[in-house]
Amino acid sequence: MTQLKFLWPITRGLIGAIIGLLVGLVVGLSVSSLTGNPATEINISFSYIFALLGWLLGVGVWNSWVREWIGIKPSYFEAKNWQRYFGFSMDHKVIGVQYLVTFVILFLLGGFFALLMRIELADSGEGLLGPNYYNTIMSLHGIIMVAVAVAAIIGGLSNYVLPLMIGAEDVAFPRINALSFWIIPPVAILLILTPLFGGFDSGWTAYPPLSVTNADGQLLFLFAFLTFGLSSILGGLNFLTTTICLRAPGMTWGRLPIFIWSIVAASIISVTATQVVAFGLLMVILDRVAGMVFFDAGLGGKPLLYEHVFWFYSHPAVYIMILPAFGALLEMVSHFSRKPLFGYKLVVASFLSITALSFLVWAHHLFTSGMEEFLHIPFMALTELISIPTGIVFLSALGTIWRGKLWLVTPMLFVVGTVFNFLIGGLTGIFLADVATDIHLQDTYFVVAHFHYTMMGGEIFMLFGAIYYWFPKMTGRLYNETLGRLHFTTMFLTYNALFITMFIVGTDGMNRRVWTYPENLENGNILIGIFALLLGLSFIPFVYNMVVSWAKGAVSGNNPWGATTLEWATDSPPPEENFTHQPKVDEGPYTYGQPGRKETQATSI
Amino acid sequence: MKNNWTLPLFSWVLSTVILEILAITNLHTLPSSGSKQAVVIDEAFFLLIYICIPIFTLITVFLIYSVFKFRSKGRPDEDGPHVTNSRNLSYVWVIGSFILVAFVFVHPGVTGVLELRAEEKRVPDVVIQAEAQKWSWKIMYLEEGVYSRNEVVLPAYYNTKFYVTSKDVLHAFWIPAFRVKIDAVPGMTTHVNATPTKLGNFDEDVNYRLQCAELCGIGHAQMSIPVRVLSENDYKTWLTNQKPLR
Repeated sequence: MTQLKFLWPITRGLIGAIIGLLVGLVVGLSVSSLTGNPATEINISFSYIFALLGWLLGVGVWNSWVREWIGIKPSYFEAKNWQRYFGFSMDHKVIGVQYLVTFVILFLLGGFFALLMRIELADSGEGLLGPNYYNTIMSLHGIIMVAVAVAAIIGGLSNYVLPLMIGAEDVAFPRINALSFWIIPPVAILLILTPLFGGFDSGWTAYPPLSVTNADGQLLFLFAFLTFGLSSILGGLNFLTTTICLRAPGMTWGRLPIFIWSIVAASIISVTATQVVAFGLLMVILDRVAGMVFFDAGLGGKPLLYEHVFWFYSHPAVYIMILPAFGALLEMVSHFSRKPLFGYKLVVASFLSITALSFLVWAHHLFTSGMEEFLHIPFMALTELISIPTGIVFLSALGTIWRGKLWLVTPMLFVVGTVFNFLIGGLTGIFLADVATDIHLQDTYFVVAHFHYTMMGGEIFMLFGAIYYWFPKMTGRLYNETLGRLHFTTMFLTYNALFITMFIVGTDGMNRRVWTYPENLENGNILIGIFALLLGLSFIPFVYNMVVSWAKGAVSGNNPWGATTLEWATDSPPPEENFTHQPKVDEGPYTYGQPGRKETQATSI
Repeated sequence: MKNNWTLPLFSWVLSTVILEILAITNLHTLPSSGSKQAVVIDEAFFLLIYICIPIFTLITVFLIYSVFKFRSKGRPDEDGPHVTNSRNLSYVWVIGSFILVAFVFVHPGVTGVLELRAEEKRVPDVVIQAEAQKWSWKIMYLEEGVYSRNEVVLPAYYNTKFYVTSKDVLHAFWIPAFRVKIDAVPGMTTHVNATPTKLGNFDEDVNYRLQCAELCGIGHAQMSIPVRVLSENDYKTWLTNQKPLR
């Protein structure tokens, strides 16, 4: 029994969830019988809210947190070794790994859903899934991948390396950090359960009135998204506070590694934009459950309102996804070129102006929505303006590589690939910012290919590059370089083949979110399906590499890359308190090429 | 170090010229063009392609060149030069991208919008209300007082205004051959214009279809009816055979 003690937190969480579920059912039934409202969705709502609370209390909030409020000594139980990852740990390094592993698994699940869609689409008529399952699977693919893109780098990698890179012992609020991770499993469970409740056929955008009137699965989706938003806000709050308050002596804002700046910029967006979409989702929930009519046009509601509210968050959200990727890209490009980052201050200015501009471009999603026409030209201008700060990222990357000493290991290959992918993603964005071309391309595969080029080609490529880069720091071991290169090469080639084909098919009139389409588009779709299958296979060497190298890779030493930032000055993996002595800093992060430079940014004490 | 620049600059110009020629002669990815609006939209599309090519080749060529030119065999044993910035290059880059953005914004951006609007401001020759409902269309010829559910029929060369409405959830009105698209929003009447420039029909060209383009549930993919563009006389004959409104 003692060997299984590490499973206690999860077991307690599950028991708490079941108790919560029953309490919620009782509350739901009494509310619906008192008010005479139909019972199903009220029951789902109360059961979920109480089950979520029960889960969180059981999994660790009660023991390590609430007990203090009522004057009982909190009980911390910390398992050893790999068993730590199954508990309510408050160590940011454990939480970072928990996030990463969870989201890589969710990424593979989302990819599996994409393959199911491609099987359906291999035939222009009805195939494997049929209309209802297709819409649900498509919607699940969308929301799962959006969640991965929002949280994998910022919640996973930056959770692990941010405190290390600024010389802090942990994040500012370790318990909130643990909470924001343990909120995630209920989100995943809700989404996976949706097919049992009739699925949901409104995509990840969940536009009403459809999302008010469809099957109960929609309600599970809405609660999942809402809960996930809470986790995202708490995470952003934590990273901002940590960076403001816990920098090591001498780690001035001008000496922060560029990755930290990107996390600061993305966190500003997460804490300021997420509650807006949460409110939109809440209005849909209230429409469904409490009979309100925010989006019922027949009773004076405005469906268009939701589109504005939704994209007011969801366009900034793509910068929550891409800014950390830019940061990781420029971080690695400096270390693997053995040159200081080109135009550091300009890049910081670019990140902050992207943050500001990201709030002012949302309505380019609505050029064909029927919104006021006088908004078209201003939003086209603002959207196109954002390409100027984005262009600076390219300038910085190329300027750093130029005359550097390039070390083309796997993470650097991912950097080069990402610059290429994001270039295509950025340029095709112009076609969607332009009102005239957007009228045709809106809601076609052109849009789908464009956002996959930015989100996957930009962010997910960088996620994998950064996993390879920080793998030795997290595990103390080296990954297998040959397998890493195999992963990059196959992923890069099949990925580009897939989505370039998608651009062509989309321009030719392939509607997005459909399970059947005109026969003349069948060849293109079959091609996309074949490339998608090959792209899926390219992750096999990655998973194998990670698992095997973590267990028995060669020992890496503290600083296998010879990189200069602070996280490489401590042990790999770092001790519980991160640094055995408080590190001090008296110079910038990228000292390459300076005569007599120290090995890292840290001043030995 | 000057000679670092010659080869990539030359390759940039060469690859740009090659890609531009290929794009001008070989790029046929858009569907067949059947309306005045399609001409405006296609012109904007191709112009943007021509503008994007030199940007694409500039960054790609310098990226590939740098990777081959500056790579080390294995772990680099020394650092690169301590260059942290180049004020002049940054100025050129930022001002250059600003000029490009300003150019693209004015043309094809604003000019495209204005051309499309000019067509919308004309007094329409034909007025049609397209009513969307899960998962069908009702095409109402308001002035003639007839309607059709199984196809959209239009006279060639006439400016047609579509008023688009929805009875239940969001839909979108999209005819690929005309390029025009507008959402059907419950509680609102949206509108879009199309001026067919030639005869055409779904049987010969699948882009002559009215397709729902906004996810609207299970039947979304199949919410599509054929479009037929007839000569004026054929159109008038067709109208007389349709069911009256109300």
